[in-house]
Amino acid sequence: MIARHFLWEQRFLALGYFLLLLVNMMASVLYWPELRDSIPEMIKLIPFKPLQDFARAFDEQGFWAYYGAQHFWKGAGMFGIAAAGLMGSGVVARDVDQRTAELLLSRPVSRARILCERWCTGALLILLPFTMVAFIGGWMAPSVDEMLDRSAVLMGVAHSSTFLLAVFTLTCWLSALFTHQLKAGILVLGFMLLNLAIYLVKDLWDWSLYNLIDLDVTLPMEAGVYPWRETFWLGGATLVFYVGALVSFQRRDF
Amino acid sequence: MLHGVSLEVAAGEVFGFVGPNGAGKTTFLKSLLGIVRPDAGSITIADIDARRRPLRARRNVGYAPGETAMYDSFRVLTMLEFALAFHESASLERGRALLSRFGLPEKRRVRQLSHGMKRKLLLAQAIASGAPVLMLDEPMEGLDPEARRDVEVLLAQEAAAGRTVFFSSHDLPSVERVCRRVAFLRGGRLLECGPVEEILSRASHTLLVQLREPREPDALPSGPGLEWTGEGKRWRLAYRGNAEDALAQLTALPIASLRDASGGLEEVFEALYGAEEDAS
Repeated sequence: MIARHFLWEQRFLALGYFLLLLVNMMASVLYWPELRDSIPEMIKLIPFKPLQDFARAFDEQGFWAYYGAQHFWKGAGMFGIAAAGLMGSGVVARDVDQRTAELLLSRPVSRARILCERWCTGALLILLPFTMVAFIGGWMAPSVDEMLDRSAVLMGVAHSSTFLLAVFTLTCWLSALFTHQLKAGILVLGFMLLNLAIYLVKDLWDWSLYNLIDLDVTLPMEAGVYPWRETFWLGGATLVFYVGALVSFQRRDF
Repeated sequence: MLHGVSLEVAAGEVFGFVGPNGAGKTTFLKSLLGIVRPDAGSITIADIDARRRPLRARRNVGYAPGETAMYDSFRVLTMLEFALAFHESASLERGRALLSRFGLPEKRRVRQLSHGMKRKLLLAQAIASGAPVLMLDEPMEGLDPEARRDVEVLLAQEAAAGRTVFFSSHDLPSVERVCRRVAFLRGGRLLECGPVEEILSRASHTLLVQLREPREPDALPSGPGLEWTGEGKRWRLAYRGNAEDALAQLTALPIASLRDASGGLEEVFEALYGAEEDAS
């Protein structure tokens, strides 16, 4: 019932997120033939070094690099994070915000179950559209005379999913700490925007979390190399954030 | 903050919990349910240690919060289903019957309900939970007099059926009519706790007497514990002891009308909290 309720509450957000990912993917794939021929000229116009590197990778590595940048970096790093921030911030703080916490917590249901059901539903709503759009991209590739390796796509989805889950779980933790949903959401989105800004500064970009999903990580996947180390750290962070969220929720008075 | 509040409510009893705003009534109810965690003390609900086994304890409680906020996008019936989904002993049929009794349209969105209607919906879900203990935070708040009477009848029926009703309220006449015992709380401390009858005996006993023809004070019945004030046809009789003895004194008077103006719990409440204020 808790999962169903959370699903119902987040349905429009999830639909909007899916449509954004889909439009981004469709536009990107359809624009590829035009872009492919003008990359060398385009590189000269790009202001930031990291983005120039992206364009160079498109030129040298072809469609896989472009697809990875569009979906695993931009799709996950912008739309995915926005969805994770907005959904995660409501996991606990929304009930405090709308003063329904007393009603919910007086039911014979444990806080652990509330968190677990909402976390699982939120994770599903973030990852399912992301995965579906990733495969839609692969399905569209032949229309622009390109092919994508299905196992590479699967690796990209798996790795980006751990990144999104870490951000989503961090937001859940903040949601268990804050009284206002907006504060938790803004804090995570602000933090991620800061990371994006850092990523665009040449001397600082090593410190950005966006390194975890950029082309250095996704390009080798085409050759079957999976970033186990990054996934391990992201998975570990997710676990820590989840335990943090659970402890904060359990200890909190409402 | 609560200090040393110790209460025991028997099965099938209707117990009133009274106090001014900020006295700690809601905090007390929340601590019983584990929504607020007490620093010390013990809580037993239906023979279950609620601090060690909060989930099992909550299975035995139908709770109506004082806060009327609910999931606004839900329809009334969906909200009822949601609230009852966690209680194994809940009866949706009973809930729907209560919605009908309270005049709540099942299809209407929660956000479209008035404050009083939301209060009734919260009551319906608590009662329909089927739990042996009902904990109700301000169940009469926001209700019109007719609905209040209906809820009083309902609570008395639930208690007669063996359910324990524990409710906090500012509505002292309702507490007086429904509860067997009452507790007064102030600043997180228990001021007084006892049977309603016993506490009411401390209130003044007064009859308003309207005579058919005027009388002088010395023509009125006198006796120990009787005190007359007024003039002509309109008199006020303050008496001690039981009403039967006082009424027996009035048989010789040409009475046009008689009205009981004895003080109730409100008078005790004022005396109790007034004395506390003076002392502090």
